[in-house]
Amino acid sequence: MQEIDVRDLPPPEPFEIIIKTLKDLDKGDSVKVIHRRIPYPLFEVIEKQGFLFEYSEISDGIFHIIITRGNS
Amino acid sequence: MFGKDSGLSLDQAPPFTIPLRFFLTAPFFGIVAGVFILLYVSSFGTRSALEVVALTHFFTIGFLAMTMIGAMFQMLPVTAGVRFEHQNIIATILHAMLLIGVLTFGYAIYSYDTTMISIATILLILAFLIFIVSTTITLRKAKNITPTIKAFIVALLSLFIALILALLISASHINSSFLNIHQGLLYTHIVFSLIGWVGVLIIGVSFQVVPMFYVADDYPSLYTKHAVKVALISMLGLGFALINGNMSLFLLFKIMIAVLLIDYAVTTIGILFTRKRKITDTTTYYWYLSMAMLIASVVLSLANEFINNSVLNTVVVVVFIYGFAISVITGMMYKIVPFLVWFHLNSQGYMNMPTMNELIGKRLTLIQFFLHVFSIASLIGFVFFELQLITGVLIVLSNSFVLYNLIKGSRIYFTKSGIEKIEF
Repeated sequence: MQEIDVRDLPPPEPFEIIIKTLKDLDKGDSVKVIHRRIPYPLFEVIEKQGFLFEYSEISDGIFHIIITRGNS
Repeated sequence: MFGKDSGLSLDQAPPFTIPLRFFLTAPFFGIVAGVFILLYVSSFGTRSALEVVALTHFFTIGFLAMTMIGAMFQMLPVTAGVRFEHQNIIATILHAMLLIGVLTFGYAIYSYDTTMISIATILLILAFLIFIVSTTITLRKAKNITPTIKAFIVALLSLFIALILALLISASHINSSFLNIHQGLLYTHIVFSLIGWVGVLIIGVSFQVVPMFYVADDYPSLYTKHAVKVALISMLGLGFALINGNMSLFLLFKIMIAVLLIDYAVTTIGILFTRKRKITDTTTYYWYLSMAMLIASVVLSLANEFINNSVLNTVVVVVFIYGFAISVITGMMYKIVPFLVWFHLNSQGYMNMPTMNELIGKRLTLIQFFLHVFSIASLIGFVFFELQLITGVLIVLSNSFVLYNLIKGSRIYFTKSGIEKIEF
């Protein structure tokens, strides 16, 4: 699974990079994002575009987010 | 689905015009305050003079509360994943009530027209109550209660307490009947307004925006987990001590608040100084200036417990409001407005935009920053010397420049000039 670490990037770079990566993702494939916060605005955008996501806080201030391109 | 020909769709995001209208109104009130100084404020030595009370509220409600309320419409979706129901209607009502309320309040206090004081008080209190209730309803939907959200809750509670006290103080003026504890109520109103509402909200927002925008370390978890709680207990203790005239308890709680604020300012300077990306822009200067002013204000306030000079108290409030709060908020608007422009245009499919830093331009924000520094110095000088003309002119110039910069930064959102939708 492809992994993107956006922890050291200022806005709007994390958003740009994640979106760019998702555009090239095949149906059913996933990408793992390592983030410093829960990116709610990103979730809102990708949810509407048919992506699935789940996230968990690995430790204080480190979030792992798995985004999968849906099959529909 | 993200096809090769689609932009992003953000139908649910708060329209850019919601926070923007609040942000543009803030420097308008800065200009109003400057003109008000030129016309009516001949001396600035005492906080109780009516024209100084009117002036203070142009800054605290017209500039500070205006931006803070506008920012909440944007902050809640980003930090908590929740948004206001009927956000367009609520934002329009709040903005109109605050705008009319502050102008009416300024006129009413200056002319000491008790009917107008009643109308202005009702308008402003209603506006703030609508804000408190709608924000509380929105926050209840938040699943993840972060330290920033906890700070928002304490800030809202402080605003509510400040409102109750404002109502009592206004009622005293309207009825010309002052309670024995009037001075205690007034001081407690100032504490909950400036430290509880303004200070705690800025601290809570800092927890998010400083690490995020400046790629800096997070604030220490000991501070983010406990500072806001301790601040609330200290303010309640301080208010209790003031109203009961218990000066040793007052001093104890005042020292607790001072430690919290200085710790926040020193930590912010530290994490900005050691940030990973050493790119410096005007907003960074604003943060450093703001934190230095906060430290100065707190140290001066503590020192004045021993010096006991009422004029110095005015300096403390000036440095806190104009030096600390207005500085940090101006700096943040320079960061957030270009970011929102980028975000919303991107969502409409415009990909070949100027970078965030190019939208306003460093030279313009830097010139305004220096005008702002001179305005602070002049306001402080005005407490001691007759600097009415220079202070008024500087504040008008500085805030006009903020308004110009924000309009310049947001113009492209409306004109779309020089950018195109990119088709893949």
